[in-house]
Amino acid sequence: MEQTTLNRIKLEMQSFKGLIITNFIGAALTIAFSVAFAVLKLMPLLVEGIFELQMIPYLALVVVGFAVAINWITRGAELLDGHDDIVTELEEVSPEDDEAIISIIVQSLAFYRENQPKIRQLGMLVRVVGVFLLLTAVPQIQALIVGEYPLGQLMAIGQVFGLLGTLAVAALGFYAPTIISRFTVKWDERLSVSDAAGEKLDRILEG
Amino acid sequence: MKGKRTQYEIYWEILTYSRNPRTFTSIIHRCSLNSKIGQEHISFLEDKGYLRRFEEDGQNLLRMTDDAKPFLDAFREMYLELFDRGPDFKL
Repeated sequence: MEQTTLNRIKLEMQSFKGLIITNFIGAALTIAFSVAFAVLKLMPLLVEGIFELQMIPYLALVVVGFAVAINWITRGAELLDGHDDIVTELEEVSPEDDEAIISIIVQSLAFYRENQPKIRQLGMLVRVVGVFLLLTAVPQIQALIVGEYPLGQLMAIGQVFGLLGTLAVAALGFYAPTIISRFTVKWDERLSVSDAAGEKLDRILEG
Repeated sequence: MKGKRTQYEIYWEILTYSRNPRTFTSIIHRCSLNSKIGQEHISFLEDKGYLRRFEEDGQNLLRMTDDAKPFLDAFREMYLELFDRGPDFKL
């Protein structure tokens, strides 16, 4: 039974780490897309110093996209830091050592209790990024339809790949909150069971 | 130890660490408690008879007693059960 418990903990830890790393990739791509998209639109301002009112939304897009992605990375890094401490200890745990396994469970619960709001915010943030990337995809689709880059030209192929990349990360932005939600549901359930355990333990202490 | 623990989790950590004789300082250091909170928890466990204080080689030590076993057994059973229930979270 203990070995199964240990394996389950390991699997969950790896999954959570995978989720955070996926978030990092998403955040990095968001920065890349927002910069790549807006730089093109802001080229006259950057090269010739000509400012036009129509540049304001693109400037805002870069600033917002950058801020959200940096925030996303920071939150992910904070979560990964605390999580890695538990993983490091977990690697040394023997399947026969119940106390070490329980210690990991206690640490994991403490980690989740403390980071519960941050994990939920991460889910919301990812969704915001998904919306943001979909918005940046709209003018790209428009440019393809209008034929800003005539088909057959190298730029058109690049445009299609860029668009597909944006849509893929936007899709991740919409799917990731579902995974985060599955994680929070599971851990909320565990916190609730541990609260109930607290009542039983209280009776033993009072007994 | 990072994060928020319940008082029962802190009791469990103090008791399991004190299976072998420990000083007050080593307990609060190991369990990441400040001296005020550590004193409160240790006093509570002493009052319950779960910890016994004694002197050895001029050192003031604390050790878990057999009275703490029902608490530790119940804790063990309930916390292992948290991960025995499916479905688990995985990507």
